[in-house]
Amino acid sequence: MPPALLESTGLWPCEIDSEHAGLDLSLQASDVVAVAGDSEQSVAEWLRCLAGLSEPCRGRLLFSGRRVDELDKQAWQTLRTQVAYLHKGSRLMSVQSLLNNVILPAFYHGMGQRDELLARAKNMLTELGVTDETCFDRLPAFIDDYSYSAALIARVMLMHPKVLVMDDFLRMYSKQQAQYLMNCVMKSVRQQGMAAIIHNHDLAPLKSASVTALYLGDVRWQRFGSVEQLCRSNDPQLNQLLHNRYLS
Amino acid sequence: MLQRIARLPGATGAFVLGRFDYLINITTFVCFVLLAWFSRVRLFRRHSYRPLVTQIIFTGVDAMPRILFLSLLAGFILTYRMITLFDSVGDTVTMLIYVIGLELGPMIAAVTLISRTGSAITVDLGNMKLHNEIDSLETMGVDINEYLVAPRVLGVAISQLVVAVFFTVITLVSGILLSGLVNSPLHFAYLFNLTDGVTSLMLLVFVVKNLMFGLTIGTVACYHGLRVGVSATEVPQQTQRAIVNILTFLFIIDGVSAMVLL
Repeated sequence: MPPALLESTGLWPCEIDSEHAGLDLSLQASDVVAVAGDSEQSVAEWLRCLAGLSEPCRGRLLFSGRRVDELDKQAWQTLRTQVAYLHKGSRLMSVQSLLNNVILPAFYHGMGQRDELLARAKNMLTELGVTDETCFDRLPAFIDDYSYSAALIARVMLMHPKVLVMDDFLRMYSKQQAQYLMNCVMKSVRQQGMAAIIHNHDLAPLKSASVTALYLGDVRWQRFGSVEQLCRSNDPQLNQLLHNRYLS
Repeated sequence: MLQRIARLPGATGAFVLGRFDYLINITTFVCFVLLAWFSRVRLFRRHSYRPLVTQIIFTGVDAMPRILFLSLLAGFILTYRMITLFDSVGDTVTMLIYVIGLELGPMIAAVTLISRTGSAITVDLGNMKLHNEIDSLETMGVDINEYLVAPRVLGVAISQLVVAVFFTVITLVSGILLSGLVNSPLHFAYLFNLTDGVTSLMLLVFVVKNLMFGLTIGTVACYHGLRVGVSATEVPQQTQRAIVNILTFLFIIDGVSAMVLL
């Protein structure tokens, strides 16, 4: 059996002070986990830790059987192409056109010729709903917010990552736009056999039988078989959290 | 008053230590940048070639019209006057080489590059840092030193040398031609005597000095750009610090190179 795409053992982020047992998680291809947490900041710390961007104070993290803390610089850079991280603060380069931004990391890592990457980037942007081709050559400052977000998604997807970590990336959009982008992301996840950890302010798009749920709190964590189970939890604290932050 | 005097030694010490700390940081920074570039990049590796060429075009090629104008002005005003002055002293060609070639040319080229490129680099990188563009690149495994900093540092170094050569040649030739036309046709001979007057040491100092100027401009500009934190007010502050520190380093390098030629 191949090693898990992402595996954590006793993991706990440094920025959250707690004596609770760390997170044990194992994700194979096409596993999708919806995340809920006590606050935006604590969830962000958890997700950065799970994406291998922050050093945990306890436990270990492995991607495809390799420990993150044992990687040299070259291997760490390669890992970044395999573990995609999207969050509210993700930004395109303001001095490059939309299309150049999308191909930039794939081109940097030598994942294809420039023309081939440009063609794939255009296809990907079109699939993500960017129908105005005139914005492909514009700078990010001159394009609409939806195209901007689509470009951020396309930029990471072009590298065919094995793991996708998304932290409330679609908060700014209308329900319809967010739903559409989320559907595109989930479709890519299934088609490419990725594992995904998704934190979204609206849990509705993630209510699917194949999506498990994880509560990542300041003092504890808890796993649920599905988002429905998370929403029907008997825990009053969790219910209040879900009511206030995720289901309103 | 007494308290201020009592604090003076401590303040002086802190200032000096701060300067040493800054020098160590800058030196370490440029070493990491050059290591990132030369450790994995083949000479014409695709992704780093484009930013390097872009930087050379912006810093060197785009600056040529302005440099041409400045060098013609400097030639007509300075070289022409210097020929008139040095003729009475003797050894005009050597004096022209020292003053125009080894001092004025590199310094004016550097000042032009500082005003055009140095400030632009600091503001550019500072805004990228401010708006999380650099953090986004790093999360995708892009080495900032290799992709953003090294092309700027090396591009400015190469451009400084090219611009200095261009400025020096135009300044000397235009001044000599004007002097030949206005003062005496015998002055045209200086055009041919110039090459005889240049020694290997002078040439080496010229090349090394300009490369050091360019490396300094690029490195200090990038260093201060990347030091911008979370506030937009830090961008002009770091830009101002970059320009002042670049000028300080340039005069120090100029002084050291002058001592080499003594």
